[in-house]
Amino acid sequence: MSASDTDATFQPVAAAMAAVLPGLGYVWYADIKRAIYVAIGVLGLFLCGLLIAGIDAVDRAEDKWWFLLQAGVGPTAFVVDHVHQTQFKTPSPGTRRTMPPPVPGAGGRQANKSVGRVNEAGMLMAALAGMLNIIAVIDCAWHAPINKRRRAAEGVTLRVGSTPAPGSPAR
Amino acid sequence: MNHLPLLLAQTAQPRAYRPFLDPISLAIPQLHDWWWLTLLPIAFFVAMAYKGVRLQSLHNFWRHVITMTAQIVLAMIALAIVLYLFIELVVPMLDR
Repeated sequence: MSASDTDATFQPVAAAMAAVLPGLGYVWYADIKRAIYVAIGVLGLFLCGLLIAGIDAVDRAEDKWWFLLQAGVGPTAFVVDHVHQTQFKTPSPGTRRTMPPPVPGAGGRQANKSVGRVNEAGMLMAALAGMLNIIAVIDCAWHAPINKRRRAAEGVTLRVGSTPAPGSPAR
Repeated sequence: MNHLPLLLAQTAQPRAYRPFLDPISLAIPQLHDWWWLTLLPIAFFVAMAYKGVRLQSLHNFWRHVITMTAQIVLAMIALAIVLYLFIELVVPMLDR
C-alpha cells in the first residue's frame, strides 16, 4: 500500500485504531473509501456469522480456539461474547461449569443453541473476519506516513501489473 | 457432545426467531440442507476485505471484488470435485 517499500515505517497509532474497530486505521491515512470497504468486509462477515449461527457462534467458554481467531475483530468480539455469556447463554449438556442464575423476569431469553452446519458456518465466518482484520492491522501498522503517501500520489508512478485508466495519469 | 436433548427441549418450547441471537435455521429449517449457500456471502465479504487492503488504487474495486468472489467459489467447487474423486476412486484402490 505504500509508495515504495522503503517508505513504510511502523505506525502505532494507525495500528491501534485498526485493532479497535475494523477499517478505522485507514482513517488515520485519510483513506476514507478504503476504511469503509474494509469495515464493511470485516464487520459484514462477522455479523453474517451472527445472523446465521446466532450469538452462539461467539463463545469464549466453550469454543476458545475459535474465539482466539474471532478476537481479531477487536473489542467487538469481546463485547458480543460478554453479552452472550451474561444474558443469553444456553449451557451445553454435560458441561461442568456453573451458569449464572437466570435474570429475574427474563422469561426464557436464553438464545437457542446452533448445531451442525449452521453453527460451523457461523463460527467460520466470525473467525475469518478476525483473521482478515489482523491483516488490515498489519497493513496499517507498516505503512508510508501520510505526508509521503500524499506526495507520492501527486507524482507519476506506475505500479507493476496495474493498468492506468485511459486519459488519467499513471499511478 | 450430544446436543439432541437440548434440541428436543428447544423444539418443545417454540419461540419467535430473534435475528443475530438465534440461529437462522429456527426461521428457515431448510438451511441445514442448503448450508453450502453460505459460501456466497463468505466469498463476497472475504474478497471485499482482502481487496480493500491489497489494492493500491481503488479504481475498479468492485470488478476486483466480483472477480475474486467468483474465483473463490469456483476454487471451492473444484476442490470438492477433487476430494470427491479422491475418496470415491483413489481410496478404494489403496484399500485393496
